[in-house]
Amino acid sequence: MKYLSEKCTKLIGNKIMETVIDLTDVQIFQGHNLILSDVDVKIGQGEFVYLIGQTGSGKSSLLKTLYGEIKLEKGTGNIAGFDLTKLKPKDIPFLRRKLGIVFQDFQLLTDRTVFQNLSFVLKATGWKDDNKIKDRISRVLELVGLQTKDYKMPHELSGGEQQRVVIARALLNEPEIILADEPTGNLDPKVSDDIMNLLHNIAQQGTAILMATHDYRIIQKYPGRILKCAQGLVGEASSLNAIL
Amino acid sequence: MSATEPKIKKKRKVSYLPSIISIGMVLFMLGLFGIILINGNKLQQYLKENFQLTVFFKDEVAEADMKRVMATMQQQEYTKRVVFVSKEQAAQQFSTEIGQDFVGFLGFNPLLPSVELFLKSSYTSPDKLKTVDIELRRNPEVQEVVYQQNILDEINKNVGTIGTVLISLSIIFLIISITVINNTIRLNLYARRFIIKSMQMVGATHWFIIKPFMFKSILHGLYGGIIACLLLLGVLSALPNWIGGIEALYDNTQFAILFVVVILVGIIISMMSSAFSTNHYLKLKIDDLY
Repeated sequence: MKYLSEKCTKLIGNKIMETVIDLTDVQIFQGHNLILSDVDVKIGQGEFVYLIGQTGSGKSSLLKTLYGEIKLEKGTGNIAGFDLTKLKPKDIPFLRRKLGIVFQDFQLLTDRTVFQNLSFVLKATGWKDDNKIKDRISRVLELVGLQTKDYKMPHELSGGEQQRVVIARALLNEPEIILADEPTGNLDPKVSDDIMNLLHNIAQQGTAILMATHDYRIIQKYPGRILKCAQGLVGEASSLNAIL
Repeated sequence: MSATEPKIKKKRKVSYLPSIISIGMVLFMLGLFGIILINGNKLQQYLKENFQLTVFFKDEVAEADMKRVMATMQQQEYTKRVVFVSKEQAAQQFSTEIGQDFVGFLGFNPLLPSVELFLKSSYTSPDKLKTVDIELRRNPEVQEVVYQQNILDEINKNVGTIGTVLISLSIIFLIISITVINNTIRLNLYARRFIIKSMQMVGATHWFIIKPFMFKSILHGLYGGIIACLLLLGVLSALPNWIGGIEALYDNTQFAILFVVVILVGIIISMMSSAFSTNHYLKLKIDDLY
């Protein structure tokens, strides 16, 4: 069951953007420990937002709250039409179908091929027609430049290729937002650039991206909105230079 | 399709082999105990049904009357079988036992004709035996009913003790089987806990994730059960070579039921362990998986 919130909109430049993430006055706990407080974050359709901060500053906790791994106890939060305060465990799979989640350690299904990884997602999210499944998989693999690697097992792919598969997996159900937790953390600069180009292209096509990262080189090279987690708060940074 | 894919698939299948064999071994152990239980029951039945009452007829009773009484006994629900022993047969048996012709010595045969009555095992309890005894004594042709109550008491006592021990052992064996199979399945799933979590991250529902693991475990339980049954068949075939005459206790119907039970136990324990373990990992947070 979805808890559809009233879709918010905001004006950025001359464009009216639909808000896909809307957190107001949120407090995030890990167990009984308060990790972040007074979190007010709004992210619109197609926005590319970096989430930076030191290790342990709460970046991952914020992302986990957004994909339902941590329950939102205080404040109000909406993501992709789901009210996080009313989210029940049985609703979480349906929320995640609206999101694309990308991890630093890939989290592919290591016991099956690239094609099977992707078809698992489609079948899990209700796709039945084998031809449509094949078509959709070839389309997303083409998008990430891996159309010839569908038969490979994850361990037969390089780190960059595995991350591309993860991005392809995230794109399968045309998510409104991709949550990426240090997606370039395990990759060398060249491969990281490839992944960043890919993510920017995806954002330009209307999918919002919230990406946690430590890599300031990337932020400089691929500018975007910056949110900084520090001292238990999440603040907006005007530019990387201001932070540095 | 790459050349390495069949190799990987083969490797994946082989990786399940140890767990199938473990399940098979545990079920074999359980099945062996089942065989002991079945044969124990049959042995107990055999002992009880070889317990005899000797019903002595009065000396003056005509043979036709004795045969009539014997035929009536034969029809009773408690009767397993009856054997008529005439005066002459009794004298011959006794002479053989003592090694002397006591009839020639005495000049007459003092022994009475009798019927050896073997009861069904369910009628060998003291209460039921007493009822049978009273009923037999009501016959005017019957002089006396003799049986060795102490032997029967001993049999009943030992059977009771052995029964308690066997039931306790069967509970212990079942608990051991559940624990070992459960641990084998849990270990298998522990190795796949991150895969389970990844499945959850892409929006799969719990049931969608649990279903294939359960199905695989059902197959493993089935294969383990089949391995156990084949080994049990081997044991049953070899046993008469080691213990002469044991085949007399074999009951093929009960063994067939045992095999079905062994396979079902394998399937049910594997399926439930798989469902519980997968559900356990689904409920854990990512950080708890490390």
